[in-house]
Amino acid sequence: VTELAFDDPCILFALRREAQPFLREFRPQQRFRGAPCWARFCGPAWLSVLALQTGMGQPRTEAALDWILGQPLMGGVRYRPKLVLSAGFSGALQEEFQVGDIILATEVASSDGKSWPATWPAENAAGEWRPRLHRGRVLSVPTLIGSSEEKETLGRVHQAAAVDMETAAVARLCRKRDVSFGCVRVILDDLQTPLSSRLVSLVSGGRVSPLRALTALVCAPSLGVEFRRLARQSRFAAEQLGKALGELLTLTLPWGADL
Amino acid sequence: LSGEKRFPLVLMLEPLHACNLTCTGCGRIREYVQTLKEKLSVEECLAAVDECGAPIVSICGGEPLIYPEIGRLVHDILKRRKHIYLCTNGMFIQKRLHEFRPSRRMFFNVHLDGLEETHDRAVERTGVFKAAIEGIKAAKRAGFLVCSNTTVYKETDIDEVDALFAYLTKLDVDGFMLSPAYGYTAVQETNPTVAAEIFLKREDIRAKFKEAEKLLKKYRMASSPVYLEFLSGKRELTCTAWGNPTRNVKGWKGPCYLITDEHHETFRGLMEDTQWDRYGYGKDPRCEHCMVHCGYEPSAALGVNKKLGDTLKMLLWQLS
Repeated sequence: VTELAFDDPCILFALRREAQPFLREFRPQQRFRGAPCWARFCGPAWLSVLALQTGMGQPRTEAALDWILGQPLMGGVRYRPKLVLSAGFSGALQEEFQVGDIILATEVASSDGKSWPATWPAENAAGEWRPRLHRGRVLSVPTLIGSSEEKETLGRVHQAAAVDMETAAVARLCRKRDVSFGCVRVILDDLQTPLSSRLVSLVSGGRVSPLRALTALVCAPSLGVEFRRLARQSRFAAEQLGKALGELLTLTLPWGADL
Repeated sequence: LSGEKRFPLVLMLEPLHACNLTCTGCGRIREYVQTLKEKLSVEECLAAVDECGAPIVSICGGEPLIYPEIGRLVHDILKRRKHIYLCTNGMFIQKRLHEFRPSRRMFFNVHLDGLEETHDRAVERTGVFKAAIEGIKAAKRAGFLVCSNTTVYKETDIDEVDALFAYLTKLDVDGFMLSPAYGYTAVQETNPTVAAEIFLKREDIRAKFKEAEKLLKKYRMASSPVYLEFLSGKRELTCTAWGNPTRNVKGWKGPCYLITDEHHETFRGLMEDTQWDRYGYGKDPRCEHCMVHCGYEPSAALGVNKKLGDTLKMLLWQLS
């Protein structure tokens, strides 16, 4: 007797803003009840994926992933993802990467020196991709990095292309449970452009309430320019991420050739 | 020459029905919703090509550029000296172009229902027109033959089709196909309101194509002059459904590309077990408003309801 199970790939976004353009192409279909965060099966019937919006940072990612890898029940049937993808914004750690560039991780590293090779995709995606796909190492750190100098140092020390706050947790837990994992990140801020400490502090929690944003703007009106730039860049970056992710899933996943 | 009464001209090969788009008028993604995750193997596709023997293979679906082994499939069909139309929405041409080599016997047939706004609305997603145009440009740059296929709906503006063809001519597109939409049962059942809004009746089709008659003379039409005369009401043709047999994941689809009554295990089964005289205009209500090229282009090519001068007309079209 074969035990029934869902094995749709699972995609972890930290923020709603990161996921929105992707969800326009892979439309949410069904809610996964009991999840510790927003969780929906999305996309066409032939390419259904489970999308999660976990919230920013490692603890929230771990909570969501613990639940997913614990084989939760969906209508009495177990869910065991055949692939977990960490997707979202990242900061460039090398000069060559611009806002909107896509980084497809070859390896994921944590700031304490541990690293895990990404197991998906097995091969480089051939052909002409727009936005272009760059392969490289992704570093995860516990806090947002705003200063250009710090990013440059991290890039040099860890030989990494981009930095985020979540993927190392995904890599570690997936490796522990022997689940295939990948990481698709889009560059939100380039190496040369620093984020002010005020802005970093404002957006550190992920969601920014209108009241908090207004208060911050009253205290420091110059923040408005920076805030607008970040809003524009994040919209563009999320569009690029949605496009790349949709196409990668469509061309590499359907019949499991790459897993 | 071999005395066969019915023989295929074009094999409609559907290696899969999965598609990245959800076009409003598409019957396939609705009719085959239970088998969208299935695909034919390359070997099954090639066996169908051999079994059927048609000189032309139209690879359609679904979106064939999602098919993982599309490069090998096209290569192996070309090796059999067949002509290929690879019917695509164009979105993945750039990414998969490296899997093909240009050939005088292969066309990318890109589906475009109008200019940007109209097309993106028809396929229910923004950015598709732009991606398809980028795909066409990339294919032309690489030396491939490219034609376009436009489906005419109730809301289709013929002036816009004119503008589309003029634009595609500038991109050096090699030919244009045009066909009225078919009112798929699957669309009518799942979305009757939309079906009533978009699908044309026979008299509407004739009015629309009469309006388009002069305009189409300006362009390198891949649709035959006899078929276009039929569409504009200048002549009658009888349907030659067996001229374009369809093979998909469920078997040989009968009786035709558009109507499904049965899936046959073998091509011979489709040809011999189908009661062909039960189908066609005036015989089956599902054929009442059908004037689609898959049923009537073979009639034009085979000289069904032939008129004086047709041979010359078809010859000049072939040479143009």
